Amino acid sequence: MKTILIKEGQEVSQNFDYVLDLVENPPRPCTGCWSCWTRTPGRCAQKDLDVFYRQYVAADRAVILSRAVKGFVSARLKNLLDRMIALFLPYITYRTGESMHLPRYERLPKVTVYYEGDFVSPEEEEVYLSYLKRTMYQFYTQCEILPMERFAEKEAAQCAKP
Amino acid sequence: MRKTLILNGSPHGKKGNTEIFIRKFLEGAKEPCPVRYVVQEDPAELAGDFANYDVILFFMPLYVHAMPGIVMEVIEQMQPAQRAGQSIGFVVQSGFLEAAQSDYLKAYFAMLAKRLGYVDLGCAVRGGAAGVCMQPEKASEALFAVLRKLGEGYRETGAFDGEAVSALGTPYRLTQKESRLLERLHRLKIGDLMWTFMLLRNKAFRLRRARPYTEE
Repeated sequence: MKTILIKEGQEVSQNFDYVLDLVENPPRPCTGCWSCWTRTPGRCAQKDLDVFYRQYVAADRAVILSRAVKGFVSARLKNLLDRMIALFLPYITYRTGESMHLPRYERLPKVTVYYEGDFVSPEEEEVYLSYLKRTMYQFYTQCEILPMERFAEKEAAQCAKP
Repeated sequence: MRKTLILNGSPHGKKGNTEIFIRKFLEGAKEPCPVRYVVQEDPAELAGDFANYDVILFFMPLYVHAMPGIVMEVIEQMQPAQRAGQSIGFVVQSGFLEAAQSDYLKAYFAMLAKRLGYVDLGCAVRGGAAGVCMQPEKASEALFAVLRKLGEGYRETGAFDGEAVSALGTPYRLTQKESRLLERLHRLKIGDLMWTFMLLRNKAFRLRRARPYTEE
């Protein structure tokens, strides 16, 4: 099973097939140019994430270590999420009763998000969680979201799986 | 009008739908106020200047159910409100038709205002706005009238006009009938015409479903 890690500067002892550290290599912001939809379909005009995209679409699992800032996903992670539109088609389906872009790839990795952050209230944490859940739904991605404290135990168990 | 700073949070800066929203809002407000472009600024410097204003109004496109990453870069640098009554408000425009697609962002902005001690003017949302800058002015006249009303109400009361916010936010969700019709139009390729046109113009139509990151 190919598992990749997206992190925000956290120290990690487990081995992953590929690691993107958003602190060391912050993704450039999406410029909203729509090249990935209308000029070079599926391909972002910026090249800094080319290796990441290839690793992501080939992975079975992606683990994201999210460090919330001001009660939301950090700008670094948000820039990465904005750049994920290259993995979807511009076309919109309404079959669920609301607008959704269509997937470009047949399958995308399952995602586990481990999060930490300075939430000032349970409501704020709930807003952060519901945003992430919704985004993964829009990305046709099965997703589990857990507090960072669960990372070592859960990922050690994953590594032990054949 | 209270001393107001308007922020354009679009990566497109002066060339895009967000700029049009700001200009129509200011036409209604009939008073000039500074507009700064997040895409051109240092986030910390920009956020530091908020202390000089009574009201900060963010205008932005919806990116993946929330603010563009460049707007979050500014939010990360924001300090708590500097004095009682300092206010913050948001205007969001999205490509998706339903205003409900921005609910996650609206909920976050309410939390942000609370966390930083700003008076929250609320978040006005407009769906189905992706084509505004590509269409002739006349096609969007009804929308522009509501944006002017939002600006006018702001000048008069220092708040967002409830009727204008409600008009902008319609449709909130699609009815079953609407979504079925739209799905039919999508399946007949009629709903996809804007994309087809752009792909054809860029000689990229043949590659429209390409998967470049697995194909090489």
